[in-house]
Amino acid sequence: MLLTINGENRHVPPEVDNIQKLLEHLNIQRKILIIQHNDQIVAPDNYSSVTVREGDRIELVHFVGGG
Amino acid sequence: MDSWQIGPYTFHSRLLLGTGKFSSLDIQSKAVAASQAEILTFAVRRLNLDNPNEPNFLETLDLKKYKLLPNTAGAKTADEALHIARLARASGLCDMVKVEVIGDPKYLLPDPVATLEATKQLVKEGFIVLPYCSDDPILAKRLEEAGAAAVMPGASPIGSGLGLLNPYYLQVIVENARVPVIVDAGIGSPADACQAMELGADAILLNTAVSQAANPVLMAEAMREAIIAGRKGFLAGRIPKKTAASPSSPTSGLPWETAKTS
Repeated sequence: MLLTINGENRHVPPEVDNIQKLLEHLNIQRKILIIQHNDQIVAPDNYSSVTVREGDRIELVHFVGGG
Repeated sequence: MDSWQIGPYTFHSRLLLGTGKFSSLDIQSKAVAASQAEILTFAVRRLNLDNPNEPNFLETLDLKKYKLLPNTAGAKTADEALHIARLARASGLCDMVKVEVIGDPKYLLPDPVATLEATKQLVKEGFIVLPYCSDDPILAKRLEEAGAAAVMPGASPIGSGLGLLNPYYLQVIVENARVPVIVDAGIGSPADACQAMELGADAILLNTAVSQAANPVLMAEAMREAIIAGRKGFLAGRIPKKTAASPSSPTSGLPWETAKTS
């Protein structure tokens, strides 16, 4: 399945079908993370219930140093 | 030091510290501690998918001790600023936002029209909005009227270290403001920070002056002390400037004076 994650095209196995599984697939352990799925912000409680489909756009953002 | 408020929050420190451009997490932690800042700014960026678990300063912080002030740096339009602000708030860690919409890539000057537009919308959405703005007294007033919880005029361009280029306008902004005035950007030295505080600014937001100093930890401490000195100087009320001298020692009683004849 082809997804656009942070602007990059990435292939993920078909069983990676929700946000929670995607985080596990990408080995992301970050505690403070904000996720946007096709322009909708996803609350952490919904990571397992938001389904990921072919062609979806996902943004994974966090806080970095800045002034 | 006397306390002050942004919206519902009370603070004792008048130094807001940016978290960019530190050479290491260790120096950054020590500088933040030395600054005694209670508000720290951050930027919102994409996670590096090739190294998603690299050390991150925010995750080392005791979040009970600090208020986070995410910025919308990188935004060139009001819509981009709204996008970043909404993402930041979705972290569940903050409800304040520093609106920063840049209108000029070389001097990084804020776009006043887009900044006002973004401020209006974010206030409607319930954010506590702190716009970074140019040092224009009328713009500062318009931002306040739009519901900004504080106004943050720049001293000089971001990261330039040029200090306070227009102390006169800053004074006018302070005189007119009914919300806190935080001088943001351009501070280069403790003297700059002190000067802005003496003119009546409520607080200073700085980053590069500390993170790029030869000794960031010592500079953080110096900035903290300069801001305290400037605040006290403002409260104490400086003497008016005079064009001629006025002696501090008595002018009479000198040991060669001739006795007055009665």
